[in-house]
Amino acid sequence: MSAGPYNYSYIFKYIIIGDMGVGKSCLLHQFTEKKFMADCPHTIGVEFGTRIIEVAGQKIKLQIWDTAGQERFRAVTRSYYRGAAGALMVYDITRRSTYNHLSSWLTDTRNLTNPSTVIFLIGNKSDLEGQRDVTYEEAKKFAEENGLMFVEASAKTGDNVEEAFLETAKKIYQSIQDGRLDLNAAESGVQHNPSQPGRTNLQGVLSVQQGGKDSCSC
Amino acid sequence: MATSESDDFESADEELNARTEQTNKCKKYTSIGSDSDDDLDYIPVQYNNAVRGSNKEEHKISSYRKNNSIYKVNDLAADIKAESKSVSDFKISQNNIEITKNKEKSNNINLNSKIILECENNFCQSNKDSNTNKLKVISIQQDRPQRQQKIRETQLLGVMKIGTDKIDKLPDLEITSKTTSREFNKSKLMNESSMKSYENKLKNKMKNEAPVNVPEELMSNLKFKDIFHPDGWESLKNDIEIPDLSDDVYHPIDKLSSSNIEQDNSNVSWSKWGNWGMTSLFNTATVGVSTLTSHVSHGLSFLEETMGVTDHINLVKSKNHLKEKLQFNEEKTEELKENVPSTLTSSFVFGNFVSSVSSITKLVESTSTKVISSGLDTLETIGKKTMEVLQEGDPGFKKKRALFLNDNEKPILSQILEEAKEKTDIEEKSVEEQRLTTKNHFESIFEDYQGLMHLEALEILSKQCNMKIQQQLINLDGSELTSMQETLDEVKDLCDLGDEEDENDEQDKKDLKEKLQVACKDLDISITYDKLVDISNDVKLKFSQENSKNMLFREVFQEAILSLAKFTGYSIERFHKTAELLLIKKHRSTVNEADCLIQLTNILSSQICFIANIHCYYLSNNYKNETNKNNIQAVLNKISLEATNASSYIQEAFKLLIPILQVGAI
Repeated sequence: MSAGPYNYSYIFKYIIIGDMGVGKSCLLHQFTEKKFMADCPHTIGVEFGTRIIEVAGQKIKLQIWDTAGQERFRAVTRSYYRGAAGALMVYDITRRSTYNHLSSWLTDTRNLTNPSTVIFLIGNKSDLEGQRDVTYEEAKKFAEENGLMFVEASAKTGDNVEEAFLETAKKIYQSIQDGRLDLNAAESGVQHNPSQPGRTNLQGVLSVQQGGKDSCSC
Repeated sequence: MATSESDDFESADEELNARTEQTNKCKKYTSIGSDSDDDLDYIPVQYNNAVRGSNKEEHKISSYRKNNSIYKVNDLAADIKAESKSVSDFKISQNNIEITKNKEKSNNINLNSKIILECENNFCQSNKDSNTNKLKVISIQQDRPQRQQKIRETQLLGVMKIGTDKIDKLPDLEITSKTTSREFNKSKLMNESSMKSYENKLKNKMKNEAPVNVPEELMSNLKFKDIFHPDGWESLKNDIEIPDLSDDVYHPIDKLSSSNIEQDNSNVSWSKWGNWGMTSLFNTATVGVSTLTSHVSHGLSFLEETMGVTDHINLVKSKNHLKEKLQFNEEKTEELKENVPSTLTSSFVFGNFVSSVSSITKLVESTSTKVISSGLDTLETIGKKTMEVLQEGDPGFKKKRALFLNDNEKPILSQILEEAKEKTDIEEKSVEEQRLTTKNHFESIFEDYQGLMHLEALEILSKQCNMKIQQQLINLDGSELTSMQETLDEVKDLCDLGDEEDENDEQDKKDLKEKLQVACKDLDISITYDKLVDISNDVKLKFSQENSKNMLFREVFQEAILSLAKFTGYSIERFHKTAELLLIKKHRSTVNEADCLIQLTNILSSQICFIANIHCYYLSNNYKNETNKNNIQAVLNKISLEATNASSYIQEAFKLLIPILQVGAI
């Protein structure tokens, strides 16, 4: 398990959303365990995954909230959007309906998160090229029109999975550096210096101060 | 150009004044203002050697002082205008140089007219008799807000004074060597370029006693003034004699700045830089070894960069050196001529520096503005970078200043490195220890098993339910409100955990899995508690086997904490899942749910006790010989403490479930 609560500087809260069966939990599993989970049970409510990554020399703990895609959980999962610094919106490139629902997912995300939340669109199952139902171009266009980052990935092969999570983190980190994301804001999704390790409260990002690292960087 | 700049300067003046007022040192200078008719020039920077020969120049140089002193002079003179510009550090240094030139020119000549940033200098007008002093101080403010005011003050470099004060007339200035050294330190903190100029100024003060007739004005110089601000200027105090300041001290800096590095004592210069590096090293020590090394390399690279820059400048200087002399002669500026020979005779280093200064100005004027601008950019970058490094972890340069103040106690670089290494070694050790302790740390294991996240998510759900309830209450009134309140209270009453479980006898007979199944049957949700059962069984298994006797005392303790934290984490997770499933359940039966959850909570709590007890029992019975009693007791206390902690987590989670039950009831 992780070596301890203080070996990272920030905690970013991610949320993974999308229709049922698009592979949200598999993406998470691939990212955290680097393995493909063939028989993935339906997620109940929300599941969690964590991984510590490094962006610009800073260790960042990603706290990923993997929500249930089932419609019956929508009311519950909507509670979890709040304070997410990053939102991974997933659709299945072999099922057009999952793509068509994106705008509704996007509306939810925009309504329930804050403006600085980075939204990353992921077209999953890119390994199933033969069954493709949504072209890369139209998804790319949709992403550009809505100001989303976009990539096609495969939880099975691991293709672009890492990239999606890391790029999101970079963008969030950039926002912090630029001052667009206020660490002190209630729902920034980023936390700094948590009194309690790992507790994100309502913010998606936690910044952890370890041993005076921030105060003395010389 | 002139107009816009002048505006800036005026605003800057105000700032400068405020700052100067802050400083107490101003008082010292008050006397100056009253008596002095001399022009107060600021930027003594480089002529040191040259100045020596000429008395005129000396006066001016001595007159140059900190902004504060200047400021007071201004007050007395009443006409002094301090013009501050925000200019990059680098620019400042060049300005200093130019300013020095101007000084030379105007040294003996009293300048009545105000010096405007532009080329038109009043310097030309040599009115020795004129008493009106107009001091224009062009202070360069760096944009960095981080710097402390002191630094800013130092940075505020009075560029030009056109006052009529002669240095000779200056009243007794009480400036102790200490103060000068302080100022000197400040200058160090400033940009390298500024540092250079500062040192030069100091030298000039010390060495210059004979004023030299300075040619009137260098038109080109004036322009440069605008661009460049002299940094070291402020530090100069009224006292011409600074006994403490030794040539050696200043030489290194001069070398670096003037690119004379090669010629002079490399050791001295290194020591200076070493000190500089040392401060950063100290800071680093706290952080870690890796950062330390990076910083050291950083500092070294900085040195290299600066050296390269200076070399560039030197080349230019050497080329233009002869040229400049000739041109100067032709022009009104005879100062340069005089200065150059004098510098050569007096001290080689200083001479070079002075000549370099003059050459630079020449260059700027006549030949390659491009070269300078690019060089300036480079220097600016270097200066900024330097400031960043200097300021890292040392806001206000407090530490560094303190370091510089103790000149006598300057440690050797190798010593510092050694100390830093020791520090980092200690830190590494502590990190290792911390890692070990976190391994035993309940909270961190609890977090590793996502207990905290589930608790947080459960909290979110609980709050949402509460909000929902409150919203409904708002819309009700009268009897409806009362009845709903009653319902809510009833649910709350249902959820009273009670003080103790009365089923202890029964529980011992059933195993955990069975008990949980029975307890949660009426929840009417599909959820299993197998994970919890597994942990419990693992614990039982471990301590019933023979091999457990091979476990170390410490290992048993770790095992206890791990099991407790793991069990608690999973319990919270199950509570969270239960809440989610209850929320999406179509037909709620609040009474049953409450009853089930109470049972569940009690079972989990007693299971915590069971896990803690099994470890405690084992510890107290099997390690009597190896460990002293106190140690055992401490460990037992720790385990029971964490068990209490775990129980409180579970009960807190249960309380979070109450609103979820209430929502189902209304």
